[in-house]
Amino acid sequence: MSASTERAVVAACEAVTRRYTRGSSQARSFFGLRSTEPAPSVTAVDEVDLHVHAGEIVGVEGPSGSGKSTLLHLLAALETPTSGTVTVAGRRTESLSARARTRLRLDAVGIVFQRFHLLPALPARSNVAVPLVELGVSKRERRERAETMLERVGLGDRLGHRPGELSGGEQQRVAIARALITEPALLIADEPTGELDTATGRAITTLFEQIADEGTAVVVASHDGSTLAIADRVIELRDGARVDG
Amino acid sequence: MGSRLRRAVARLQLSGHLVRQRLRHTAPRRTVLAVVGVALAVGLFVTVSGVSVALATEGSVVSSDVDYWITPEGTSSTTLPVSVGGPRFGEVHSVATRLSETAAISYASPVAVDVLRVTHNGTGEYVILVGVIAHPDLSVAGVSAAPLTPGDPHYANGTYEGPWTGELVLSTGASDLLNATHGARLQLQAQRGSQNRSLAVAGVSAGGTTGLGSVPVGLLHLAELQALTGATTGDTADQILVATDDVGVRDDLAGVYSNSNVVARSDSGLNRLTESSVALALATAGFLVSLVLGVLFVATTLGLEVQTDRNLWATFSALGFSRWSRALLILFQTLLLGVAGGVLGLLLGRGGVWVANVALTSMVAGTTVAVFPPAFIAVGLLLAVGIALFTTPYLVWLTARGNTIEALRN
Repeated sequence: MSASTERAVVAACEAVTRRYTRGSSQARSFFGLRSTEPAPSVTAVDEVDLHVHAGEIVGVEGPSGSGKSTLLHLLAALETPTSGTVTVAGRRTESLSARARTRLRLDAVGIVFQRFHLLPALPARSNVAVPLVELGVSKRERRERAETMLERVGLGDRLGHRPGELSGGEQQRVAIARALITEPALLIADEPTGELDTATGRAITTLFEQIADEGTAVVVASHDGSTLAIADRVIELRDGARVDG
Repeated sequence: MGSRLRRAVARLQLSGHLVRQRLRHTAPRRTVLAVVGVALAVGLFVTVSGVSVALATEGSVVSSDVDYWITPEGTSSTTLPVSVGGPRFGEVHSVATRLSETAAISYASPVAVDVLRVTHNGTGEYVILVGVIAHPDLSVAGVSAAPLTPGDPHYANGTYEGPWTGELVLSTGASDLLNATHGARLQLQAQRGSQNRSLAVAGVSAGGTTGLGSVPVGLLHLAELQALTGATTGDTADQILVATDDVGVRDDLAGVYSNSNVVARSDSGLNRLTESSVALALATAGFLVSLVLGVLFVATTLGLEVQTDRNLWATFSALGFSRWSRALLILFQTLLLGVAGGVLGLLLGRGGVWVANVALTSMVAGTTVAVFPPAFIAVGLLLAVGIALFTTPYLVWLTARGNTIEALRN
């Protein structure tokens, strides 16, 4: 998409490598091993270059263990690279303290998880407003902004429903609304339709298109071709390296 | 409202939601167990301290009598009533007579104390002489006044011309010291302005024992001691002892003399001090043991819960909640559970005090053996808050040591 190159760069990876040492919890996590199982050392992301522009949807595809999730974690400042640089909203994450990276996530990054990770006791409205608690927003404003955001994702009639009272697709919409409530420049979605049926998944991807149209950069990792079909461009990873040319 | 305060209030509200989430969804049993743990700790503390405080304040006197000392302000109420040159009460015979005529008071006696040299068969020793208005049930420092002629015959309505009984009851310590037994005649060296008199040992009584050992005590009629010491002018004494089985008279006694204190009686001031210290030590130990038990219990139950909730804390981290913020969320939750446990514990403790009173009074005595003063509410809640505060660092450490990404995958 040639227009994307004219827009501001929201996130950038320059020769990024992420290596996990043998036996580390990250290595175990990468291989999906239990804490008692030995984990070998692994290069999860290998010399990856990537620029994500405002309003752009970037798809990340590849088989399991190819480094998709690790790349997303690097972009979300949940991890720092072993070498190379990751820049998000103009800030180099590898030079930031853990506290500063947490603040960067609050200010500039929204994350959508495959398993939603909503708080079961809270109604949709309160779930969406959770990040605003950290920002010190007043209760009234939290409520107003959360309701506006839920209406935007099509859940204006589900404000007081708790996650247990919502379908999988509705829960994912709540999670997306929560990710967008702080108006982040970058939205990271790791397998966002992995637990949804095809029709519901399609509704979610349509929502991502709307979000991107409003200027938010979206990075989506998925095994599912229909999810990636909305992407302006798709990068492919194998063994941590880009193979899409 | 400032941003900081608004954030704190919002975190508190969110913590409340998280507690509710645990109670309803994720870990109801462990959450209830944590509350019960705090409640048991607070309840245990309140019950143990209730008995300790009752001991210290002598609400648990194991006799039917409740006795009081009226002492001049500024004197120690926890020492044996030995007063040399200290403030004294005046017109004590008339005050004691008036008090004795009160229906709720069994008897009242002034107590004057002086140290005089007493000689027997050429052996002279200083003895603590205690002057009283004799009553068969009266004992001072463990020495019984029963062998003395009841009342104070020599006083004779303030004329000091009544019969001189010359009776003296010695403590075993004084008896041993002077080698004087029943019937022995003792010589007293009177003070300036008085004449030397002889006294006869009317009895030897066990007593005069304090935490420091046996002291030589002699009990005699007050007017005779006053005559020996030249204290007849003003009719003075050091203290007034009031025997009653009605705790309600205490307030009335406080108004008998201005600048006076009313304290519960014990056999010995030193014993009283010792008992108070033991009670304080018991209460302190109860507090510390309850604190440790509560912390261990809550740390175990909530620790397991935090481990189970790893993905919750990882989610908060991913959403941009700082480590400090997450620690505050844990602190607020622990405090909420702690305070809930504290309130429950106070109710349990109140029940424990009631049970102790019902059970022990039926077996031992007809009076209170444990109390629940209002201060227990504050101390009990303080204990609950303490348990929460001491538990929080461990819970924060548990959440911080996990791998966020690993937790998010689960």
